[in-house]
Amino acid sequence: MNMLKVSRRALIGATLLASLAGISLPAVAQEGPIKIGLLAPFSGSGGPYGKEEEEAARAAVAVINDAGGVLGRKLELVVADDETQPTAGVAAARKLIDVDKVVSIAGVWSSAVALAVKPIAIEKGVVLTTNGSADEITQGDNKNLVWRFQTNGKDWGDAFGKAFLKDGVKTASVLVLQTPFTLSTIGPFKDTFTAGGGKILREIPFNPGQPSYRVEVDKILEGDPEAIFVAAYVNELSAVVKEAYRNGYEGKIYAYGNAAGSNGQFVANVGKELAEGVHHTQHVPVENSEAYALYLNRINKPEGTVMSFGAQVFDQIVLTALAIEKAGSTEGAKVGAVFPELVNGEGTSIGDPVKALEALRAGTPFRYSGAASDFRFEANGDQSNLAYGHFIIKDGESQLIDVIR
Amino acid sequence: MIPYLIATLSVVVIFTLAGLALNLQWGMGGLVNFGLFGFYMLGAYICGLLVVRWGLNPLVAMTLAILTTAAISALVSLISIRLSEDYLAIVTLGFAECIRLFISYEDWLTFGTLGVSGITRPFAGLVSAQWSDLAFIILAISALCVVYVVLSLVSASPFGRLMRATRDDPDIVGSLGRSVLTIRLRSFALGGAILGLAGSLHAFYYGYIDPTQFTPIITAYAFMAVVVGGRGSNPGVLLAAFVLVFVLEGSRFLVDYVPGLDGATLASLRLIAVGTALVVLLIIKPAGFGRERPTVRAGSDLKN
Repeated sequence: MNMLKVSRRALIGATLLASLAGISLPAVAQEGPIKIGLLAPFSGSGGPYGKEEEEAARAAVAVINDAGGVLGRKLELVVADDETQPTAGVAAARKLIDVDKVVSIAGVWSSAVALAVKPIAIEKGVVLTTNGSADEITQGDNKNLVWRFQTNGKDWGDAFGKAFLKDGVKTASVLVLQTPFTLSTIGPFKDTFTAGGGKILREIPFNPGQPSYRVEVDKILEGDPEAIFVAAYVNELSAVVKEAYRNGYEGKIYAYGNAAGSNGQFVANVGKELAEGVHHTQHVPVENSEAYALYLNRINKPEGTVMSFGAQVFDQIVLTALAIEKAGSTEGAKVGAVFPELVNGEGTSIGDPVKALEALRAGTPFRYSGAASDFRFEANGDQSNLAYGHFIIKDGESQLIDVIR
Repeated sequence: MIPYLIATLSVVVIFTLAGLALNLQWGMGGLVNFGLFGFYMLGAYICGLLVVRWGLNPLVAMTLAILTTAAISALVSLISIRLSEDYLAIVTLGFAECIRLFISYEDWLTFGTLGVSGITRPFAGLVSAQWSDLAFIILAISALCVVYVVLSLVSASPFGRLMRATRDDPDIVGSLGRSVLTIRLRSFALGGAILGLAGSLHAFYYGYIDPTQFTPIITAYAFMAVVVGGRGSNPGVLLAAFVLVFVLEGSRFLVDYVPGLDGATLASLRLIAVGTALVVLLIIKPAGFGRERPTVRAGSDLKN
């Protein structure tokens, strides 16, 4: 008995010592690799997109490191899970910032997580690059540290309105998942659609993670709308589409590209037959994007795959690397400040990060043309100059039928 | 590292407060409060909204949040108090879900799912941003000390004995001429006040609150703290909160040292590891860390 007590105490002591040793290690070595954080959703409602983000980030880091890194140092990716939850996101971000001493945090997917992490990033002078669409993320004084690599909700909603009108839809109903992002697209969608002569029959809000969406789907199909707009992510969209099929709904279904198109997840969830004819829109590269082709090649995906979140994260890491080289510093405020110059410049458009690095070192004027879209930055951190692809799912594949500007 | 430890300690303090509140209500009083996260959310939202919408001083807002949450807790317990334990659990859970839906949809008041941002911390004008975390942790620890002392006094007081008696057998307490209803009402209100405080501190710490932050997992963590700590033991809850946050946060570092696996797999493994650690903990210490102080010790006389 006594033996056991001693050994347990010794065990606890050893554990404590080990943990103390762990925390007292020097947190950063000045001449080591430059650390870039990836705060991705690996669990929770963003779970389906975490892996896509990580692959993209690793691909971008590999591209830069193969070209010799930046400022003569390699990049090192530190990955953390935000559980698609603001409090967990803040805890993970604090570890990235205070312990790993990252220069930037990329891949922040959920708008709610972005809004929660933003004050800390600004206080600590760390660049925050986000995929969140909620308009509020870029509002206020962000000290050049917060950059959105996603359309804002307003422009995307407007693009949906135009797509509905072009397809000749007269009556539509909307099913809205309650998140900052979805809500920010719905108002502009309704404005564009009704201004063009369309009529909204019903608008039904719903919460994520419900065991069934039957009641909501029944309500939204009342009045037999020609089209329904399901403003939700892939898990909820899949459940709603199945439910609508059970109800015998024959009209059109519209969804976000990152829900219906992303990496074939939606088709895998509901099967080819149900996915047939589902419309989705997504901001896209206008012509063939060099950067996007390079990204797909790096992650071994066939040409034509739509992986918008991954492409955005690829751009985030590449642009951060270019900015570090241009600023000649790893200080967040200096790095963030050169973001606009890199994409808004006058020179030739370059999509290949390696060529962009060479041009930067040679001092030739250029602008980076992204993988997710050929975007430019506005002063507040939003992207402009976006084009939206209008896709339709045919035989399990997303086909581009139109480009909306 | 130091800023990270301060940040993590803030989480521990908030977590401990929620655990202590549940330990009072369930551990000592026998009132199963599954809706704990709803009261916590209420505290956070009242405090956050008073600061952001009406520009109140954060400390005043916190005080009002504590009082309101206590009052609402008392009212909720009144609705359900005639029902026995399991029903109370369901009623509180239902109440919490109602709160969450109300806050999600009534955006004219609560900003809806967008959340409340820009909640200023107490003493924000007096300390520079750099020392803000330190000022916060001092406030949080002082608040925890006050709560801890109050709860220790309550636990040792005649009222604490009454609470434990109603937990063990309400009929006997009733037959001795005590009103079980008021005892339960008071313990629920006091627990609610602590949850209001915990919620307010949550709002100050994050500076941004939205409905997705308040899920039943908060209730689950509080129950974990009480179960691991030993039901009825305040020092146990204190220790358990440290251990639980250590496991939750420490596992973030663990994944840095596992080679050859991608982030998605590691993230899932981390959550599995947290679950396993808790199961192992309860196998090693089935009764938790602490033990409830016996009211009467063998061999002592009963004059006290």
